[in-house]
Order: sequence, then structure tokens, then C-alpha cells
Amino acid sequence: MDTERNLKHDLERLANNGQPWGAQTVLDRAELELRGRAASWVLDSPRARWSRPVAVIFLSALVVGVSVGVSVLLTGTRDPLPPAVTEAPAPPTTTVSTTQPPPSLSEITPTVPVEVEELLVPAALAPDPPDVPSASLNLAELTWSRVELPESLFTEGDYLSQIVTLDSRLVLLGMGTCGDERVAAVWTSEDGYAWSRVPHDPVFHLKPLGSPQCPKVFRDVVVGGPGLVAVGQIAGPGPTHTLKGVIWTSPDGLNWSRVSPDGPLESETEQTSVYSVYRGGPGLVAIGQACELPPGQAGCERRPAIWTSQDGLTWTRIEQLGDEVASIPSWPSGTFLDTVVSNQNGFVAVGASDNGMTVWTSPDRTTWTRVPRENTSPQTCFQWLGLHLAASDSGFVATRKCNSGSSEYSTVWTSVDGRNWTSTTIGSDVVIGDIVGIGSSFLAVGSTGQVDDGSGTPANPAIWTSTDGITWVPAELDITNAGSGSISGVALGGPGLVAKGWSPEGPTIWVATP
Amino acid sequence: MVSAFDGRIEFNERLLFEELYEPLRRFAAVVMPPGLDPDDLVQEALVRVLRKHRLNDLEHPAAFLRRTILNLVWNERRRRRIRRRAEAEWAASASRPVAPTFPSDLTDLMRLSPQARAVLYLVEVEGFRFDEVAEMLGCSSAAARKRASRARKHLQAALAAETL
Repeated sequence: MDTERNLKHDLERLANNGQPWGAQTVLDRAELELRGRAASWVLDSPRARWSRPVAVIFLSALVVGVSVGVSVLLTGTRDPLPPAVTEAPAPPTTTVSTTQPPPSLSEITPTVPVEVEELLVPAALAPDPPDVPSASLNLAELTWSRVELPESLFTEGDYLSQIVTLDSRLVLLGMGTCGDERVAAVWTSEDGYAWSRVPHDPVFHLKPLGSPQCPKVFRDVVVGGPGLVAVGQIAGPGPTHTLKGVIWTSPDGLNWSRVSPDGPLESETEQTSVYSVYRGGPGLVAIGQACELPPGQAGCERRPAIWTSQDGLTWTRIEQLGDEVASIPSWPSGTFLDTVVSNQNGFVAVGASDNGMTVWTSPDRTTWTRVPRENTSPQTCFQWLGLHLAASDSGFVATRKCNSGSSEYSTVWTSVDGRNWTSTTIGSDVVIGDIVGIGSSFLAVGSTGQVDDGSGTPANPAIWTSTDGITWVPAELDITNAGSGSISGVALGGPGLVAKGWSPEGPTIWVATP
Repeated sequence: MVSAFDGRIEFNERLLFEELYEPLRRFAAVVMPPGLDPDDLVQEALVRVLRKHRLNDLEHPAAFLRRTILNLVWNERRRRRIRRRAEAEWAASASRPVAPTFPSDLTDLMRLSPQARAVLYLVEVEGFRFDEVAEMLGCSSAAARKRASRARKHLQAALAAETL
């Protein structure tokens, strides 16, 4: 008995040996390696005890790969691991309509269905004007071209996460490096062609003293409050380095301040995450998650959380989200809200659950109602990632990325009222990186296909427009220097529209001219 | 296929990994050979998995990562064995001891194979059943039991020798 107890005790000691880096550090380093910085990172790292084995492991992996290949020939099996990976079914090759084809959004009359009545926004809560005005731009007649950028603009490892326009200034938020550390970074442009990086601001360098964590970065940004309001996350202090939701504001995109360090997003006993911020209501609404931290434990039970603000500076958490939201089980087995938008019909939020995309509606951003699963069925793949949501004057479009064997594609969901949804696809190899509503139309950016080198690199940046969310028309791209990669965000500005993306060489910028 | 679309680990994957990190790191610390850092091992396993899969697509991501960790350890052991053999052949001042990263009284445990440590740890500490452990390690339930039984005998023998 004593031996048993000692064995368990010894195994526990072994398991707890050393000082953990923390999940964020491991993730960040893994990400760097995935982005091709493995060599330099390993050489730079003082904790590179894995450096020599890495090279050998790759060689060993090669040997194992050959063995596996032989095994494949002999047994027909492919994966040496047992993990029973769920393979999603093949993507539909043609447009899929799950219910009766809805009328075109542009054909919708003001006749309000019963379900929509609860979505009507009280006059006092009429949303602010959308970020993207109902521009007179004819989306179908824009020509897109990639901007030639000086090499000095980005350093290795930089990436762009958000693009937004404040007045006439374009602002890119992303991640860069500061010494050996990855930090939030900002770039600006007045015309979409000439860009400069904003000098590093300590406000983004929030690494707690003694923590192995790097600061977290932006998740979303919106025009509102004093100018721009960005939400993101940083690593919290303490032994578990839990995440903290953070809000930054900027009057001009150049100078940034952190909002309310002791505000409702931060707590000693609670871990918060903020995924999305949206202007409307009036004011601002941010959605994410919060969970109480059991003393001494890193894990916690996540619940949806929503914060509102009139000015972007003072935020209040909505305590009563309604029974349906309050009863959401914890992630990852449950559901969370991911992105929120609104139009004159109210608010729509999409999230993920253990069996697909979930949609919520709210007339007032306080009380949320879950759209019945049958209204968004069938959902043919299990994939939580790549959720995007946009509102136009006449409806909503949500996209969700799916995997099919070795390829990826996006499913597009369209709704007039937020409650009844119809699914379609743009193409069997189309992956959507972002979607925006402009006036009564939608613009989707992303990529088609993959480079045929087994790397999974998106082959062709691509853009589509739609007036109804169902029929999508490819936009004209100047492919002279398009290269491979994808486009993942778009904003009004510059000569018309400006988009940001990614290529194997680094971040990319695209402009659309009439 | 590179699952990380543009090299980025998706936010939801990060959230999932945060949940998995602590038990994975503990598992890595148990099965790793001396001289490595368990976090290095976890990181390498994560990179390996993300190069081929989305974390959220895996039905059992924790099991998948554990198995990957064990495969990496196995490869590393093989590499060391080859190196030791080469060093012996060259009769150089080869047998430079590797500084252990574990307390000295855990030496007996570290003499067990990584698979044996993995079985003992998963059963004794994590509370998995043998059939679950077998699935994780890619062996039969009987083989997992046998490994555990043998490991216990080794440890008991070592304990007996020390107390003589």
C-alpha cells in the first residue's frame, strides 16, 4: 500500500517537475514555428534544450514517414496515431439550399413576419450608423490590385488581424515583434498605398512582471467611442497566467490607451475573453466569455458574457442575459458567442457549439434568444473555426469554415430576419476570410484552392460580391502580382476599398479602385 | 496539409489548447527523457499535430497529442541509443552524463521505458482505465496491463535492493 502511495506520489512529482511555461507561451512558440521561424526562434531561445533534438526528430520523422508509407502499402492504413480523427463529409459541389429558397434580400418587402417582431429595435435603441456607409460604390465594378509594399514595413513574423477606417485614415492592427517578444502592432495609411508602422506603444506591452507570457493582441476593432475601440486579450498575472479581456481606445489610430484597467473585464477571480466588439444599440457591445477561477486551478467553466458601453470608455457587464444564455453549458462542450452585428432588425450573434454553428438574436442586446437548430440545419461539418458574420441593410450573412479531407471550404448562411437561415457555398475550394455588409450588398474576401505542394497554402486570393447573400460573383483581381495567399479583412478607404491579407512572403494589402 | 491556415493558430484552437495544456505538460514531464524540457516536448507535439490537423477537428485531441508526445520521446530515445552506440564505438570520452532534470530519488522511475511510465502515470495519477490507456498508446489492453505489472515489479525490485 505504501509502495502504491509512493509510486503515485513519485509520479506526481515527476509530472510537476520544472517550471511550466504556460499554455500561451507554448502556443506562441508553436505558432512561430508553424510560420517558419522555428530555426531562428530555437537559436535565439535560452531554453532551447529541444533545439538539437528537433533536427534529429525531423530526420526520425522522415524515417517514420517511410515506415508509415510501407505500412500504408502493406495494411492500407494511413495514420500511425490512433486518434479516430473525425473526417468531415465531402463538401457540396453545388449550391445547397436547406429550405425553400428565400426571396432575394433586395426583393423583401417590409412585411414583418411574426418572428421578426421580437427583433424590432425600440426607437431609443436604434443602432448607430454602420461603420461602412451605404456607399455609392458599385462593388461589382471594382478592380482589385495588390499594393507593392517596402520590405521594411513588416518584419518576419508580423501578421495583420484587423483593418478599420477612422475618418480617412486606414488603421491595421496586428502582431509584430519587439525584441524577442511578440507584441501588438499598428500600421496606418492615409491612402491605402503608403503605410507606416506606428512606433511601439508600451500600452500594448503588457507582459506581467515575471510571467513567461507574451501579451495577447487584438481580437476586434470598431469605430466608436473616442475614435477607435479595440478589444483583445493579455496574459494575466499570477501562477496560472489566465487571460484577461482588455479594451483599448484611440482618438486617431496612432495614440492608444488602455481602458479601465480595473474595470468589469478584469478580476482577480475571473478569467475573461472578449471576441468581438460592435457599434449599435446605440453605443457599443462587446461579447466574449467569463469564468470564475476555482482557487489554485487553471481551468474554469466558461459562460457567455456581454458588456455594453455608451462611450467606449466606461463598460458595464450585462448581468442578466436571459435563461437561455445563462443555461449554456461550459465550453468546450457547450456553446459560446463569437461575433455580433446588427441592423435595423436587431442584433444577431453567431457562436459555436459541440455540433456546429449556433445563432442568437436580440432586440436590445440584453435578452438573447437562441435560434432553433432546425433553422440552421443541416450543418454538414463539424468545424468551429472561421466564423464570420455581416449585416447589410437587408439581411445577415454568416460563414463558417469546414474541412473535407485535406481541403477546406466555407459554408455561407443567409438570413433576412436573423432567425431563418439558408445555406449555400461559393465553391468547393473557397475559404472565406472575412465578410462585410456595404449598403444592401455583401463583400466576401478569402481564397480559392491550395498550392499543390502539400503545404496547405491558399493558392489564389479572391473576392466576391453578392446582393442577396446567395449568388456570389467573383470580383476582378489584377493578378499581375497577386501571388498566392489569401485575403482576410476589408474596409472602406483609400481609393475605394482596402483589404489586408497574407501570402507566404508576409502580410499583403489590396486596394479596389472603381 | 498545413492546418494553420496562414500559420496562425486559430483562437478557438488556443482556447482548446489552454484546456489541454496542463495535463499534457504533466504527461510530457513524466515520459520525457532526461535533459529535455516538457514544454519543448508539448510544443513540438502541438506543431506536429497542427501541421496536419485542426485541433478542434480531432475527436480526441488530448489523446492525439499524448500519442504524439510519446512518439517524439520514442524517436528521441532511439536517437540517443544510436548516438551512445556510436560514441562507444569510437571509444571517445563519450559517456558524458546528462544532467538529470528530475530529483535523484526518482531515478528508478526514470529507468523505466517512457511507455511504462506513461501507463503507470495515466492509470495511477490520471485515473484512466487500461483500455483507455491502450487506445492512447496504440497497444492492447492486455499489453498495457503487462507493462504496468512489469514496471511495478521493476520498481519493487529496485526498492528491495535499496533497502537491503
